[in-house]
Amino acid sequence: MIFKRFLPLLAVLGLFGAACGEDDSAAPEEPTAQQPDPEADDKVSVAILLPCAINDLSWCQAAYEGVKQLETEGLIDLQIVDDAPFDAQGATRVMSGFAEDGVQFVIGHSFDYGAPIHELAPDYPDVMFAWQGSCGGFCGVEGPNITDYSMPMHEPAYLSGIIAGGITESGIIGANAGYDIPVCRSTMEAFLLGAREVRPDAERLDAFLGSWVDAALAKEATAAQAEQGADVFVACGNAGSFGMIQEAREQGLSAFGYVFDESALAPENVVASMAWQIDETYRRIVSDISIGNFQPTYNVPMSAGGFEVQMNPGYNAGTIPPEAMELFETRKQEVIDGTFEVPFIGSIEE
Amino acid sequence: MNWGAVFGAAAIIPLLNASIRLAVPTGLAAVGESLCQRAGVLNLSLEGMMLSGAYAAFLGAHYSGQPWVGVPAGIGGGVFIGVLMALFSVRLKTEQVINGIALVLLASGLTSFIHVRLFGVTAPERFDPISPLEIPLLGSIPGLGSVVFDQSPLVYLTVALIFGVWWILYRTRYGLAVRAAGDRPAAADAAGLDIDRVRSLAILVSGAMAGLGGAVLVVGQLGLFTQNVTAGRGWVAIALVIFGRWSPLRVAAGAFLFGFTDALQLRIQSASGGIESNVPFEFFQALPYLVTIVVVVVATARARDDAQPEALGVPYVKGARRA
Repeated sequence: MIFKRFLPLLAVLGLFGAACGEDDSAAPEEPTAQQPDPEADDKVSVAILLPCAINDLSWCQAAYEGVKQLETEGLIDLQIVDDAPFDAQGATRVMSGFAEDGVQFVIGHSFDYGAPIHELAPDYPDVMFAWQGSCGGFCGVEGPNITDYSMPMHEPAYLSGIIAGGITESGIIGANAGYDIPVCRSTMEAFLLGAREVRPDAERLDAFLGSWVDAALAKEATAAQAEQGADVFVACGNAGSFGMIQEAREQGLSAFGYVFDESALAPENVVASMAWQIDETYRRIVSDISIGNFQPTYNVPMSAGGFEVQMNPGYNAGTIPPEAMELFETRKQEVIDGTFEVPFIGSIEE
Repeated sequence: MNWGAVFGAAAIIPLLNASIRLAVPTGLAAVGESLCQRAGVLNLSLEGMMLSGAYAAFLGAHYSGQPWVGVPAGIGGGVFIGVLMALFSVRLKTEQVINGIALVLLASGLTSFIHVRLFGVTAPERFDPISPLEIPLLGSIPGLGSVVFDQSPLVYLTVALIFGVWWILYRTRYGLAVRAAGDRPAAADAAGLDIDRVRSLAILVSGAMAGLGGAVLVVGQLGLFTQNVTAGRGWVAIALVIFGRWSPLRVAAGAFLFGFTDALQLRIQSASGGIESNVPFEFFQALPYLVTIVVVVVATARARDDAQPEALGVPYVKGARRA
């Protein structure tokens, strides 16, 4: 009788169990899926937590393709958790599972994983932890086995801003970001500075969403900014960029893609994407781990191939004046040569 | 700061339009939930129903190439979670709160899992969302005409459903049965009502409306699916049911107020200097919640009756003694 009452529950659980059972490395439900053996070869065993989908055309896909590249090159043994828990408790659970399994290097690909990594790292001194802090070293990385890797997005943001300054007719830029964190600030500020090289009177309207997943709210933020005159848009956050690009598409305005080539979302409205070549960052960390030279922070700027501004040839929602394009090319070369430094204005404290 | 950009004559119409767009998904879920709670079921799976609906809507629109197909698909996605909720909470009489939370987790994990399974690293193409339907003549009335008569067809559907739920609850035999099942299930049972059936149906209606709410986000606004695209709207909807004191029309009004405050805070953020502003953005972010809480407190303090269904959250076991 009791068994009969729970039969439907068992059936449902069994169904999902079966669905999960055929899982492979793309999304292991349990970190224990495979036991890496560091002695077997000189590959570094790596586990990465991605807080979103590997096909999001943005934040997580950039990181996914980065680590996959290293796996293809034979540098690492790779385990991936996509759609990983965002909360500290859930992230700690997944990461400690990997650490217990003897994974050498655990990557938390989000600013939010900094806190749980700091909690966890002292308990596993032999495991290296990295999180995407993008603080340029001032977040306070504490511990010999913790590093923060940066997303020097202010560089491509500045260069994109130059183009935006040429495109904008109203001189008003709309920007949205998930939260008020250093990398978002520096991106938004650099974008405006770049725009002001072409349009000295350029202004920026900001909206913070309080969410990394609320694309619909970002769309509304973009609509609000368009009402107030903005005609070129930039975002800091994957979902934020989806909503922004959709609104730009509906209104025939221009937007920039966030950390991955997002031109597929609006082939005529995406001017360019600030594409993150994250494999180079991971390659450096992994190489340092294998020679025992783990650094407290990693920053791979444009000069080292960490980022690029990927133009969208199909863009036609506005016109890019040749002067702006020329200035863009000049500044880009200067940034790569190291003769021009884009200021990092990311501090929250005034 | 430029207040004219937020409250000027030209800004009011877009503000109201944005309020409606922001209110519709949450409002649909909240009104459905009010029916469900009136039947005595505390359905916390609402966020999961919305998300499941959002994903089903995406799949429907993606594979058919027609955003409209996403509407029935989204309803189906919400009902799918509803069936599980009814099975666990009504049929098996297990703890409603736990069932609800478990189903939210299930929907979140399942949609993400299927999404990556189906599409791998090639992101599915986006599609054009359903476009607004201007009602001839009325839509061209200056001013409010565009707010009332030039909206997405899904908005008209939402309004119809809100009044539909109100009508069902207060003007039909089934509505009477729902209210009886939520307040005095034992008495209703003695009078010959099948409590399990009444409650299950209410859960399914709630699932359908929440699923439609999720579908609105995907096929009515974004044209794509992203992980956890509902972003907590289901939880807000549950709070709105309490806000509206279990009356569908008050709940709908609450959803509009919430959407309005949200639309307003985005505009104030933009107009007030963003990063340069001395007010932390979290304040603006909290504004819709703050306003809603204040209204709840005032409304509850003024109310003379206790609107909460008496048997809310209590599984009905035939013949069991009341605690």
